[in-house]
Amino acid sequence: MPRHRILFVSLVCLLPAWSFGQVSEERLVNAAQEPQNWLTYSGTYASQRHSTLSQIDQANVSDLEMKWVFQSRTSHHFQATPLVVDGVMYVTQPPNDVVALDAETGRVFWVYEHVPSPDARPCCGFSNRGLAIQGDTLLMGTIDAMVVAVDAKSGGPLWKTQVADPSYGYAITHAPLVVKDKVIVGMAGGDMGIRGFIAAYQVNTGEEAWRFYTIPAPGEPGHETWESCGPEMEHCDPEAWKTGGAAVWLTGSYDPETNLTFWGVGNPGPDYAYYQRPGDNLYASSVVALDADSGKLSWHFQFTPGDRYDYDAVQIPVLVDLDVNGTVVKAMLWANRNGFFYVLDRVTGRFLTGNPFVRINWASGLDDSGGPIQTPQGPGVPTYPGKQGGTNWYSPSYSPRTELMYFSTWEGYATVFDSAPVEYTPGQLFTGSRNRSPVKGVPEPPAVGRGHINTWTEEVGHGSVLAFNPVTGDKVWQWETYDVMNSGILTTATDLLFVGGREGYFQALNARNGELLWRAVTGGNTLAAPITYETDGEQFVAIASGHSLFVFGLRN
Amino acid sequence: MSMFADRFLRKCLLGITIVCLFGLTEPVSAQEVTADRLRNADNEPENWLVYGGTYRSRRYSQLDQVNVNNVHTLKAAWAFQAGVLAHGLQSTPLVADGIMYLATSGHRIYALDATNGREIWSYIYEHEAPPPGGGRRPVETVRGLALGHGNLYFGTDDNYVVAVDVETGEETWRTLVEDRAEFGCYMRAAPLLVNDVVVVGSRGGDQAHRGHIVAFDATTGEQRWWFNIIPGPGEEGNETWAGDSWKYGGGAAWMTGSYDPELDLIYWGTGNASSDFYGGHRAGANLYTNSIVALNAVTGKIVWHFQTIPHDVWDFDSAYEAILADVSVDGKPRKLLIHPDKNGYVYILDRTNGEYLSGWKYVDTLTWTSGLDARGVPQGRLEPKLDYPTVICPNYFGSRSWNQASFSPHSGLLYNIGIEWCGEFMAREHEVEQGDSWLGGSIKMLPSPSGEVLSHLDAFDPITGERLWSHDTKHPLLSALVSTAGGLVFAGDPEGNFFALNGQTGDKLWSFQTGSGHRGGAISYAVDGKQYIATPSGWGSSMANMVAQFFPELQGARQGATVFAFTLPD
Repeated sequence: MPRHRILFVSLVCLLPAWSFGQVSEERLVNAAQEPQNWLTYSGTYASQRHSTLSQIDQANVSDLEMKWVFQSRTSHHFQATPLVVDGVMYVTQPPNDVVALDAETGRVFWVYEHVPSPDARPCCGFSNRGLAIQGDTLLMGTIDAMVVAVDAKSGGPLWKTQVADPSYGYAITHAPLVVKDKVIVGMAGGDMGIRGFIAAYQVNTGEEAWRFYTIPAPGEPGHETWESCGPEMEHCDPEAWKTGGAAVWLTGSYDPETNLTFWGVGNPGPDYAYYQRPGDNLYASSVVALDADSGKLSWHFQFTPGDRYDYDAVQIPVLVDLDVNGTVVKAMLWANRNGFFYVLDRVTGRFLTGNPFVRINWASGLDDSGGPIQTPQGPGVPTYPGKQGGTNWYSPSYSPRTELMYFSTWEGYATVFDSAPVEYTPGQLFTGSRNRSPVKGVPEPPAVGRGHINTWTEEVGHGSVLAFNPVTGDKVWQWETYDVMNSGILTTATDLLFVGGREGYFQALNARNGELLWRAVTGGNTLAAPITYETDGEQFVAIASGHSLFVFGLRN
Repeated sequence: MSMFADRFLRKCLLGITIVCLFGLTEPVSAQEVTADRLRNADNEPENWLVYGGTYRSRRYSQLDQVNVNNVHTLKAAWAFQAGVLAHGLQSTPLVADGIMYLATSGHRIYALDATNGREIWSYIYEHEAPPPGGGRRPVETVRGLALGHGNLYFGTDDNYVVAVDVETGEETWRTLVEDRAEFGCYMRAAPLLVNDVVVVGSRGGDQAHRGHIVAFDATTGEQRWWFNIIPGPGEEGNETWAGDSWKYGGGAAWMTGSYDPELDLIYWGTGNASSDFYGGHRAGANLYTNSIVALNAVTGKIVWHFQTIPHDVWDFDSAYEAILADVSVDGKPRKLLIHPDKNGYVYILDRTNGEYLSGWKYVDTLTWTSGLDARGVPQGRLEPKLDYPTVICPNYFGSRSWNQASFSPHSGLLYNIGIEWCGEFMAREHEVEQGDSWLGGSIKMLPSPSGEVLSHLDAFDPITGERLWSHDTKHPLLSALVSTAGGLVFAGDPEGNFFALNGQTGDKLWSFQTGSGHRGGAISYAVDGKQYIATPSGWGSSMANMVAQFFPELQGARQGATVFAFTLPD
């Protein structure tokens, strides 16, 4: 039985009483109107990770200094985005603690500790990326596949719902998304032979409201994309859909106008032994649009049919109303791990444009409906991009001021894929080869992923922050790094872009031209995404890096 | 030109990236730290070449760019996250010629650019053999390094002394001191490099073990001399042990010593006699446990000793630092040794001959003795009783942790931490084999009679023991202190605050939340004319857990392992 305990690091009564307003549905829908707070994983339902705060600007950004630091209690990667509500910061630390801190000083108010079941079988470490809040209820998904509700005032537990069996590899690693009275989560475990799903729970009770399987069952539309096995099809698994992965491990977005919630879905499994699961494998490596009340599928778009590269489609759906030659297009922007940048119509799911943003050879291009013209490489030949993709789950940012999309890239990076048949064993990796990327022969760095994973040669690539024009498909500027780039990005109303990275820095760029304006040494790898908030009239920027959370503000 | 350099240059020329502006510059190759430089470390205040700052172990920096007037503007220049959080970060970094050398838990060493925290190389110790009994080896901590002769030196949990090339991070040599499995001893403390030998002591004082201080050739790792802290039969002092009790009598030298080049004497504190709480089998004074010993640096022969507690039955040790200070006493310049002891007293000795000059209490809660006589010998002893509990103050964690005090020649004051607490001791007699744990009883931790565990950071006149100011802290401080010529004293607390006090008044002038408690030693150094204050931040250790028994808010407190370097804004 999972256990929990609460550590009252300071007296609860020290939590200022004024700090608790109910985070209502209305506040969540209009989160952009209270930039002093950071109410959802990506800042707003549109997931632009853009703030209208402007105290820190181009002129004074060089005066930023470290204000306080929170070191998490384990050396697991600190991947979380904090929430900030009226001066109180809520963040998760691995594996599944909720921490409430004074957003101004870093003083810890309380720690709620969920001790995960030993049955948990996370594929990729004890990751947790954050929280959702509604009313005074904080919501967390756990590595042992529970949704946990915690009282934001006291840190006390409200309810726990076991969503799936963690011994089969089911886990929740992303920050939940609250829409109206429900909290929505998806299942990680796409490399473990799960059958993925997205489910909604009542915020008040923890009762399940709906469940959408990301792999359709027999008789449901889309099931035919898990093709039947012919007699000559060696290794083909007639029941592949049951263990076909299609995990969901990153927070979705929501469009109140259409009441649709959008979620990126991961790779089909086994990852590389594609011949065990012939077909396009819906809804793996796709984005799905679900009705937020019922969980019914409205539309889907598959980026990588029959994905054999573990490309996933696990990115943040960025919702933008684009001005295309004077016409407003209700768009969804998507820089996909497969190396293409997509613009979709978010009302219908229709493909609008797609352009490569890194070197690609797994496909020669996209057809009129956005489907890739696949060109699988022969044995021993490098496939571009490699298995970690041209980008990955690192949160992008869209600035309505510059009308550019910003994301992290892995440049010139390839994997030589191999593949071996694999038998499904519950709770074990189900990938069909390891394809240990990124670079063979380079030892893992000793510290918290702080070291370089490539060796600074042309062959193994490097990284960049890419500013991309979604309307023209042009790269507007690119800020290059020696190491590959795996940080989330934040932009602000003063055209600042904040980004970390693998080299141990946290930096501010000019969002208009990529000029480096400021940088701090955090000494840790940054996978997380920055946020900004304001308390007592002072703007702060926070980023998790290595095993620590750093908060910066202007010199007093 | 290497491919990297080529690409680097091209990128700079194209202006695509400005990485080239920020620290991908080749670090300047450090000048070799010679024996001469170590002897004259006072001449290079920009460096921190020895565990305790210099051979004097004062933990004092002559740098004054950061001072009482501007310390409030101090800001973080960089952070370095070491990756292994177990036991926190207990070490004190060294800095030589712009490069910081940091030892962390897991037996790792990092060379960092001291201006920006960028890693130059890293080293991970590989154990000689799998742990006894197999399974996963518990992660151990390393408290510091010695530097010189082109190497860094440290001691390991399987009791090797290891030399690592300071330029490359490659291991140069390793020498086994004594087999841990057989003898029960191992190392955490920083070695002391003296002339051409590297000197180490071992832990193992709570085991059936015979302590020692050993010197190895700094270049080859060959053993040069071996000083048994417990004299053998025929040697002077052996008569202070009943029967065969000398064989396993403890006396671990588990922290780092000091050195006076003029006198050519090495000073080292030694630990408790074993078994810790029961001494019935070891009647006698038990030399040279609980002593400061002065050894000839060339031969390792004992020149003088001063025993703080004859026949210790409290596990009070005397392994803490020996601060070498030249101070006028009664108008006469004296070569002093200041030794804050775990037992709650500070001892002032003449370091030329070991003469006891004075001893004074640095805590109020002290009941194990009614006081010291004119020779510094404790009178009126309140000892643990066999199979019967007795409340005695302080407890066996002492009136202070091992983390060092600081002596400032600038202010003439000794800065020291004191903890007011007690323990319920009970002695028990039991048989052991060599290498076994041998506490000889048990202890229950208690607060001071006030019902609370109190802690304070104080400034003392070292000669008289007069307390000039006292800064109360919410929790016991378990960090070492550093004072500077800028009139400042720096310390870190268990809640993660790293702070500066005015050395004259005790007023808090600056504080920064580093996110994890402080367990190591802060230092100061300078590069290119810019002064830095650097502190390890990382809570952990058995003592940290013990402290948390009294403070619910520290239970489950976050571990950490990050070094922060602070400097003044440009």
